[in-house]
Amino acid sequence: MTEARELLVAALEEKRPLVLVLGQDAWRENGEEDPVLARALEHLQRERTERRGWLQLLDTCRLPQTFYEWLTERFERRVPPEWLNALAEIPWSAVFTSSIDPTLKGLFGKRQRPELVLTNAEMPPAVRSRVRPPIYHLFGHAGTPDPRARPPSDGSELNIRRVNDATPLLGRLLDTATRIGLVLVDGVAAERDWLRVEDILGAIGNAAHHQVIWFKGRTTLPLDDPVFKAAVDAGRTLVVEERLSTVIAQLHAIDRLADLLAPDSEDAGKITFKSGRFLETSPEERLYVESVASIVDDTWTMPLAALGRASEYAAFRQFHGELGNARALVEGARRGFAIERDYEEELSDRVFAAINDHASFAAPIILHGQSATGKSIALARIAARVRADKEAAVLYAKTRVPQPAEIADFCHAAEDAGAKATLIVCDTNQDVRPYSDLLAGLRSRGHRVVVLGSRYRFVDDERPRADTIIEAPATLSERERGELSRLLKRFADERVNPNSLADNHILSVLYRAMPLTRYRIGSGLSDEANRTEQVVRDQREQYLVEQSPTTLMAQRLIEAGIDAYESLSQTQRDAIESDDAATRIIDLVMAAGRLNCPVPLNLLFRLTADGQSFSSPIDAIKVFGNLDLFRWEWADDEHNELLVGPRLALEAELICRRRLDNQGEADCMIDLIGAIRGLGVDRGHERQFLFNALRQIGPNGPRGKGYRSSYVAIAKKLTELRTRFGIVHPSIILQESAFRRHAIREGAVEHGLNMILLTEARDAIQEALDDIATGAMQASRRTREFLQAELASLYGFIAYHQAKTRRPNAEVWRTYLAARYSVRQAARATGNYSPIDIALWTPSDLLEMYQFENWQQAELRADIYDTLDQINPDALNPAQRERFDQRRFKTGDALGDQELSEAAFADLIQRGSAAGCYLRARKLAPRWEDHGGAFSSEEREQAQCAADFLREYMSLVAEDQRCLSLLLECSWICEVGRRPFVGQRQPLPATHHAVQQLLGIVTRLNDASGDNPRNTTRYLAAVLTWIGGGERVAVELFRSLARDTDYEDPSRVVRRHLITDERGRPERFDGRVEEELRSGSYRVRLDGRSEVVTLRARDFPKQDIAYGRQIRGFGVAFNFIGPLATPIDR
Amino acid sequence: MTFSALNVAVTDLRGSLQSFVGSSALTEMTVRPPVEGDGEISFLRLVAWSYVLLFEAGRISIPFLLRTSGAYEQQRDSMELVRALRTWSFHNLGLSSDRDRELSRRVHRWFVESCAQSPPEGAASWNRCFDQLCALVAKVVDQCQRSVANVLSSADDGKQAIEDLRHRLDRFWPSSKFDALVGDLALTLGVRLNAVKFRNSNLDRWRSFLGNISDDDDPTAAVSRLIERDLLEYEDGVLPIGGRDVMERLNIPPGERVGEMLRHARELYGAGVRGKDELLERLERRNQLT
Repeated sequence: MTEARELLVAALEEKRPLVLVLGQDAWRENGEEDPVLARALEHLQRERTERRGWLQLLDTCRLPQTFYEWLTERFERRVPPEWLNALAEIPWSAVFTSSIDPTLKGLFGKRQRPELVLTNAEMPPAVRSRVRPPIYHLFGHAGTPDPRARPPSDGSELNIRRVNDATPLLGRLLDTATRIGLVLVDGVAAERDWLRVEDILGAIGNAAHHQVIWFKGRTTLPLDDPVFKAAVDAGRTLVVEERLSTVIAQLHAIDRLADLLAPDSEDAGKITFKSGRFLETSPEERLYVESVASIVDDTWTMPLAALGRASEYAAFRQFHGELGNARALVEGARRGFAIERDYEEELSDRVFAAINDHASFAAPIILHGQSATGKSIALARIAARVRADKEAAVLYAKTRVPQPAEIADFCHAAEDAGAKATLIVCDTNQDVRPYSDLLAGLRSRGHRVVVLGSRYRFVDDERPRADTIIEAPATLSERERGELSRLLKRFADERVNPNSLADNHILSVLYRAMPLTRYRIGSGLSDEANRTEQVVRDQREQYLVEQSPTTLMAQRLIEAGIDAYESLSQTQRDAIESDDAATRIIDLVMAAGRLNCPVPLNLLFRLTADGQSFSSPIDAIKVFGNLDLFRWEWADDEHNELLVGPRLALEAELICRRRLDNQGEADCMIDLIGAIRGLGVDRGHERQFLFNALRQIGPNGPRGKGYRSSYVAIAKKLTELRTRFGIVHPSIILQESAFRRHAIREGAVEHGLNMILLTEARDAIQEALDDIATGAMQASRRTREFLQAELASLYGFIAYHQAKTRRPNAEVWRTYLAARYSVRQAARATGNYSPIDIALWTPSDLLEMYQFENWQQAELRADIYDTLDQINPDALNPAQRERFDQRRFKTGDALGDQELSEAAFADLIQRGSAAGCYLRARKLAPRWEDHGGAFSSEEREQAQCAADFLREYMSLVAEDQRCLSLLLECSWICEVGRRPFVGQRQPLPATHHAVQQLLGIVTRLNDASGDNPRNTTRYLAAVLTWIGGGERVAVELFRSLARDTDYEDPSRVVRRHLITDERGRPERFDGRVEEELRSGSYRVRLDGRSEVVTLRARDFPKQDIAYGRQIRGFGVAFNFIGPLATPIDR
Repeated sequence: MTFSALNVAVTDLRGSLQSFVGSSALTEMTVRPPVEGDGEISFLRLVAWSYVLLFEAGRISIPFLLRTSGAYEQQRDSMELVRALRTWSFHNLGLSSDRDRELSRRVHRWFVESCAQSPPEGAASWNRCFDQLCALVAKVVDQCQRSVANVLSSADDGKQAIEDLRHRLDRFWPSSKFDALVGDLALTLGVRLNAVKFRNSNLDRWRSFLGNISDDDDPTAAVSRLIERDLLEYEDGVLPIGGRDVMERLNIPPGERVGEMLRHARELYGAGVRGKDELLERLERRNQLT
């Protein structure tokens, strides 16, 4: 150990490169699992396997899509152990880590300015640097939006990452360390780490004597591995029993590191001024000032290095896709990666005026606006401009507003060096007060300073604003829209969909037109929501102390004679004071807001204020009225209730994505529903909210079946409202039942619970009907009809489930008789079509799935015919008639009554409905559910029959999506022998005729889908166009598809199809590399053809890919992004 | 913010921490609390009380809670100010070192900001500073209480955070634990010394060392090794001769040669040459030879 200690001290003394290899077990202590991993496994409900470490995360099924976002928050909440901080004190030249912890950069950033490298395609600005050491995250890190840099989600992706990124990156290890440097390995355990020990051994195979020190701790080492043993025996690798942190702590304790850990200063902090004089800051001064604000020195405004087209595009993506530091923002702004907004001219005028005459600006200059309105970029641009002008010094704070004492010395030095003033840019989104305090604090010491700060938007627009307050509007001007379109064309080389720029709201435009900004937008909104939480807390404190209105709206209300402050009870104040209330308010408003359900204020506060409600909305306005994140409206002309919602439903959706998962949103809605008390006249808005919420959260709402796993909980909450809180309303009872049925239909409950839920629903409906009959409950005739029909439907469902679970004949039959009785009651009471439908499907389904006795079968048949006889089809409206004919068609099949089916089919045809064609063709087609492989010749013939049948009725089905989808499916099976969208690297039709025929169907299908064609059919249109010879059009289609699915659809990179010959074998192509698009990605022109495809070097690891090289014998595959060269034998 | 309100906030925080973590998270403070409105004496007592709260009773829990909510950097200034005020109030600053001068400047600036005087004069000025300091410390306490509400009680992070804090508290050994270890190790090595005095001069370093090692490396064993080394150094430090003896006996001027001779004397001492005269005699011989 002493030897290792001395080696480390010697390397530090001689400033030789020190490279750290940090494994995933670095956080593991005393044999206990890394706490974040343990929590992740618990979250995923997976059992721990002691010996598998982080590998067990990828051992079984694929990780959920939002898992890494959740994990990022866990990493961020973890307080790094002290001993890990000790590691960060060493001036590393580079760090290689298999950890995916995104906070590592911050940890090492306390003394250095690390640069992250997440993929093999990236090169850090310096391969080794004691000031800016690269941190190589060999498997990416959690929380990055870049799909390529994201950590693997399953074992297969892990292998791909290992091959494509981890191993090549690790190959840079010894080059980084050089022959004189030291490589220190810590926290790497064999068989537990994503990084394999043999990969490390490979990377350090040529190490010099005593160049590698492997700190063991309690990790297991491959001591039996001959390669490892040879490295140890030869003295190349030194194994130390302790952990690296212990060795560092020992060196600290014996005072051997005191003079060795001073940070270096490779970047001179020189700031020159117009006069030619300059300010040169010492490393110590820089360290002190830069702990709060970056010094914008001359290196920030140096001429920018020229970038190639591919590098420029990569930089553009990085600028918009990741939350960069101040310097990255300034560089991006200087490179013109963002449009200049109209308000920036005014901002620039104000700032320069203030620098030239700082004394006349008594207040800070404030730029305020919503998230994603370009505030940060505007501040970065002005910082660069001011420095380019060389009249003033600039400090740039992004994390917090500096204290005057922290930067006073710098300001003093800048003034001495000839600066007209020091501009302090604070992109911290604080209220005005801290900026004013900073300005006043520095002015009081006689410093010439201008403070420019950002904050989220002031709400009460009508209040006159000082000219030092400039707003970043949320809407785009015509000029800005044009600039944005040109920007996208220039950098993204993409044709911008005019519809995506049509919206006035900048957030919506950016979100749709520039998918790569989505992560930043989400982060910005999340930050705004967090800030709002803080404001909620601060506002209520101020309110309770001052007891006076602070906002314009509140003032006006009080001027109008309404003063309800006294009525605010202590309980209400206490409840609002709790931190949890602030968080809850935002979550609840956003979860409801994304469903377009503004929340009644009293309901909101009842839920967050422990059962107490506000007696006047004014109280709430005083506390929450100036929060821009919310929008308020009076619920009625009497101003009895306020409704709270988000600014935009899209914003609410993005905030929900960051703060809540699907279940969390559903829980918020359930909580809101459960907090409703009474539906009387004075609670009409809550009733309205309840009905609105139930409609939106149900399967016909905007999120479809997104909340299906919560249907049972919703139903039970409604039952609780009725039974515990006496909220009895027939419509709510109907919903109780409907949500239970939806849950069963969507398979959201265990089979054993089906009958319990149906019985609960039936009892509730029956009770309601009984109460109505006795006059205990009031209900309109229409509601009674619905209740009757619901009861009949429930009995039908119960009978169906009994039959399905093979209950005894007598039991099933008894339930059927109850269903029949209810149907007749309902049919008698209502003119509605529903009872008829139930009367047809119940016996029809029972006949198909249960073996009844002959007399029972006869009864069922008789019931069906009886129902059919009693219906006058001409009396039904067109929609009911179509449903009736479809039902008749199916019933005919169930009865084996060809005549009945034919008659129904003829009626559907006659009425112009394609439903009959669909049903008949579907019956002719082979069964393909769960069919993943090749179809037999017999099945292909069946598919041919179904396709021919549909073509026969083409005039009828030409605009029907169902029929066209079916036609595509059948025609594809017929031509290719497989389903079109199942599996990877599937064959494509080989003949020109087949391609054109299928392209015709796909085009028709996409046209019939209007503005919302499915991505898969858009993809198929692009592929068929490409192989049909229309490369130019196909490229446009691929680009549009790639843009729309970026950051949205993880399957966009899956290679779905491969060009094949008539026997389904991959076709071989040769081609020449024409251009390197970006690192590792090339354009290859196919020999003898005009088409080009993309080739990724990592797909051809054995070939030396470079410009001009001939590539032979590859296949051409397709994903949503376009055609790709792919190895045939993969 | 009054001191009573601050005291209530601290009591609440102690209660919350006790329910989540245990009684050691924020120990009772026995230092006498200040009486409000009593000018300078109130202020000085508040400084001492605040220091005990932030750097003794809550020295583990408070920074931990601030870190979990990402508020540590924001509140660090306030905590450092309390430390500076305490040093300024109760220590004799030499003002010869940069650190002392910076500390003094910092306190001076804060007094000016708080009451427009430095140092404050008159009860009214001291009372204003008292109120300012109360508000400052209350913000730190309030932020800790928020962390308890948001993190320790969070479904996702609470369990892990509580375990982490408990672990850190366990790692903070009381002085008596070091005393026992020093006593045993001194006996083993045959070194005679006052264990408490020896511990006092090394305590901060040992605690820092203890905090910086992983559980993987048995902390007791690692600390024992460090104490053993310190004991041997201590014993080395009690050589029966000093530089002056060497210069006189060998008749050499101050310089590297004296150090070289003393190092040699240590080797001899370690090898069993313990007497003063014997040592000087051996050094004299060596000096003549070289």
